[in-house]
Amino acid sequence: MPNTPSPSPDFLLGRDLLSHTGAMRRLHRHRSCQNSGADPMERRNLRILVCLVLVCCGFATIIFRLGAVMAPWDNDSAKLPHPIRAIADAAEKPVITDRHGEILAMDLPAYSPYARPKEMRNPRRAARLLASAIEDASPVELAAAFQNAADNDEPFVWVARYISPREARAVMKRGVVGVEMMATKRRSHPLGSLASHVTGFTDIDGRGLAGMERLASARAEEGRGSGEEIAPVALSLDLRVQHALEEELHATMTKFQGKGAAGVVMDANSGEILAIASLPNFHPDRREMLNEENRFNRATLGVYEFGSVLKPLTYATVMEATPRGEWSALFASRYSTSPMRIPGYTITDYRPKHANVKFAEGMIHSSNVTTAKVMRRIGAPSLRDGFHRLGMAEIAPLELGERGLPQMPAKWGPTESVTASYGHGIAVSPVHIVRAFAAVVNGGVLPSPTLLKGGAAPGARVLSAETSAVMRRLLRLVVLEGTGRKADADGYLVGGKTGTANQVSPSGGYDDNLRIASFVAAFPMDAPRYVTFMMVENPVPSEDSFGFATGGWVAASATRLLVARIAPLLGVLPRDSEEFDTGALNFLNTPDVNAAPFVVVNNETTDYSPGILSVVHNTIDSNDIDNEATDYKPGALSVVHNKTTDNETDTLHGRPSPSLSLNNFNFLRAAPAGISGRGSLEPTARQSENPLPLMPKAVQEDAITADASPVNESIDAIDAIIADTLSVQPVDETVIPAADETPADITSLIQLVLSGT
Amino acid sequence: MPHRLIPKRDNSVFSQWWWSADLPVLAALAALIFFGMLLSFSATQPLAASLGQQHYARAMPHMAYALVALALLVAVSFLNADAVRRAAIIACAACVVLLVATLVIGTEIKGARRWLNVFGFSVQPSEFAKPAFAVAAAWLLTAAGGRFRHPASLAAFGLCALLCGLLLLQPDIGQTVIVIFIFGAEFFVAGFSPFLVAALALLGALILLGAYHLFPHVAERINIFLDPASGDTYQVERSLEAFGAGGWRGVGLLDGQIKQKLPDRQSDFIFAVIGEEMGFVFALLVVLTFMFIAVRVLLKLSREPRAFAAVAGVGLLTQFIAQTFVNVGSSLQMIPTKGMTLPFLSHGGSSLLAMGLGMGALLALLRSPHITR
Repeated sequence: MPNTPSPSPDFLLGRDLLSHTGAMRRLHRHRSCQNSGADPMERRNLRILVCLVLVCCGFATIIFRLGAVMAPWDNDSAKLPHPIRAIADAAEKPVITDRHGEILAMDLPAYSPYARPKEMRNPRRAARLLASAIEDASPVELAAAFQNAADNDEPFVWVARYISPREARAVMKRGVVGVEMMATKRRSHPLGSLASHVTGFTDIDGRGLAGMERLASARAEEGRGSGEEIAPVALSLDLRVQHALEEELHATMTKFQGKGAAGVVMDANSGEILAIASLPNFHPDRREMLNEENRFNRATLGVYEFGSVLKPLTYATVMEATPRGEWSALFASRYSTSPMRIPGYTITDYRPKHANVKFAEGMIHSSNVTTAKVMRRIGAPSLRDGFHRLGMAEIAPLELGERGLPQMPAKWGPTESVTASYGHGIAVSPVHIVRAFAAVVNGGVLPSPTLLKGGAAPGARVLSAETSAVMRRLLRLVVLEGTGRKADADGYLVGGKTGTANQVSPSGGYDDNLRIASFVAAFPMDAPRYVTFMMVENPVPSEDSFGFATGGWVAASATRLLVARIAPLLGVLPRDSEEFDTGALNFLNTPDVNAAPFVVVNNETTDYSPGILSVVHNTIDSNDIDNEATDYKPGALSVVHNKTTDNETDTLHGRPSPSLSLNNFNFLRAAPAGISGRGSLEPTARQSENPLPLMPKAVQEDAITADASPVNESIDAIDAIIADTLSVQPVDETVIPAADETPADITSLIQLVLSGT
Repeated sequence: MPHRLIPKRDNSVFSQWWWSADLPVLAALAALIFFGMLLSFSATQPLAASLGQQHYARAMPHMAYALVALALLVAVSFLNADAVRRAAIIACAACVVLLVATLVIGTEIKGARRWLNVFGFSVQPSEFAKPAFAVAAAWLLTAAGGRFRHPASLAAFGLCALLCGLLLLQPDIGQTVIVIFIFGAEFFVAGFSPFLVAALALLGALILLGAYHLFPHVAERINIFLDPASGDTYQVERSLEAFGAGGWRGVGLLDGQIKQKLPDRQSDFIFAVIGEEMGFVFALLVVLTFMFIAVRVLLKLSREPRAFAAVAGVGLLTQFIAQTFVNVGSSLQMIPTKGMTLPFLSHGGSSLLAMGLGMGALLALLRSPHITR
């Protein structure tokens, strides 16, 4: 056999085969052979070498391609840590932030080991090994779980949920057959219980069950597969304000040993909610805290009878329903505060004045009777419509799922309208109160509350700017001179209304020991920017409060502390309130028109002293109660002889009493001279000439304005006060930064305000 | 050490084999087989899981086949060239019979009749036909001695045409291409004139063109490769994704996620599993192992004085390399997607055993008739 290659010691390494000189020698030989005639072997060998070159080229191409496709030098760090597997489609939920971008809820990487019990050889040993790697695991429980799953032929069982990366590595190092690791996301709420009722909570798989977590889940669902990162859910909350609110609520609740508390801070104009809290609350990540009591959102889901905090709504509604020209009479009139009987109830005031009070005094002293009287000027349907316009009958428009359905009277009869006028027999949530109160003070626009930054829909005008302007003064008066004095955070022009309402006990009926003390407020009252509401459920009177546990003691004090904390944060700086307060106090110093024995008011008398005549101008057709005629023809005047000492119903409802019959006008004709001495008898005199007192309204008005009686002087004075109130220009908004702009340099801002520009 | 345990001058069969066999190539092949066993645990896991079986339910048969394949490989390598030739000719004849039988009584899977049920085992005769044909064709071509009109030469062409025909009837385009490659490589090195080689290359090109027009699914595959937007590229996209996820060191054996969604991961796309789970370094190592075998065998064949051994060796190696190129090239989107097993790594009993026989034969042919070390 020719050309047998000689054995080489380099055989194992193949050096001989790769020998360049060897290949070249053969190539040379091949050429020479070709020239001298074909040598099949040389030709074959050369062609095999050609094959070799082709094969090498092929492999080189593959290696280049492999490098290009795998590109391990690109973002190698992004690769998953060995040996943990990821769920490729793990839900990515958007973070939840406050209005300044502080994070309330976010996804964190976490690991969850699971087992396939069928593949386990020794479940007990596996359980022991796993329990040694996971801190909170019990070998007995794990073994039972594996055994149970194996018995029930379940292919999959969790070993643990959301263990730390260190534990995950420890689990993998145990190398238990049938145990695998899932790298996933755990929903985390780093701020704990702060704003927990807004944030809400999720189930163990991160699906939102309550609060804005539901919205976040819905957005994650929408955005799934779009490939785009889901924008954060930016709440309207300001966590600084939220913190202050929760702290003050907690302090007050603890001090008065309350069962629960709730509070809201809302932008009075836009409706954005800056803080909203309900106590007790919970840590969204601590499942043991998620009991029914803690989860309950008192601020949005709970509906309560709040009592007097609804009075401003009644007053505003009455003013709105009264023509501007008759406001003077409204304010000049005096209203009885003596106990008033309506079918089924006797209405009394909490601190009876036993005197007839004016419109403004009824508000500041929180007189139920006066409010009821004022309400009856317009009647039940108007009150109902007014409350409906103020959003009291609808579920408040919020992004939360936890929203309470208000409880309104099914039928607005005389009793229901009277109790509703001072906030009983009607249950709403704190958000309802804040929303309606915002409309009362902000110029008459009902905002649409929102928990999303910039998410507020435009509001609807429900009250006139004039009504709102007068109401701002009256509400400021409540804090200056009335039940809300403890809320006067100096310099912030706080105005508001107290509320103390006994709650229905579980056994039925109102329980004197179960009550809600609340305070709704706005500041600064000359141009309100923020509305606050605080309530404590079932406060217990303390020695500090001299045995009181009313809205004026409990919630008004808390509101003062809250406003003093949050106002500077929100760019509202303290200033001198003298001018505005004087304007408000004027309402108390209105000239007294009580000298007149009777003042014509709508369907109402001002003085029910026995023996005194009242003239009733019938604007509505109603068979009303106490001391009044049953025959109310709209547009007619009725003259009523007051037989009773107070506002008691002296007839069976709807049936004419002999004492109230029109026959009594005979007495009018023979009115003793002493009566006339107490004031102008002009209307009465004219009335007396007419045996049937069905006089057109114009005639009656003419009678009042005919001469310069003291009544007219009083009314002129009140007109001036109201005109003054309405002429006040709201504070220039440009001085005060908007809510979401934190003042960069607070000193320059103070200088700006002090310089008076 | 081996010198004392296995004396060079010993006349025992084992000593003769030890000192004449290409041990590095054998070691590389054995490494591939063992790696294939390991890999099968990962590659078959999703299939087992989807069938509700245990992780290793599908890896066990692979282990058994791989061990038998290794045993066959070593055993066959003990043969000498003449024995290889005789066995291959018989095996080739048997394969032709089996291929005909396949067309008649074969099991139809996915529209093709490729498998025969023999004693409960599913056998794919085409796998065994490839190495047998490589050796038989080499015998005929060397017998022709470079003369095209020689009857042996024509017989070789006839055998090739017969095999291709039977494979196309199944139909099995992939195996047909491999058979043509084997025959083309052998024809090239068997010493025929360059004109004939060029003519045959032209013929091969024409056959490919014919296949493009004759078989719609071939045309579709090629069209999709040339214009990925024109069709469903799910499989190869998953494959590239799997490679991309691997990084330097891979996500870890058994821990691949993309492989879960990759069809044919245990056979045609097993290289993507390697890429994802073992990473670039290991994938490169696997490619280099194949390359080492190819280069070393070709270098050795290039000094082979015996025409038959050289040509048959080239034929056997061509099968080995062509399958590697097609498999790896498909999963790396270098060529149109074509199902082809990766030697010794892919799942599949017939492929493993046949590859063991073929590479055993190659090792046998590489052995010099005399001790060379």
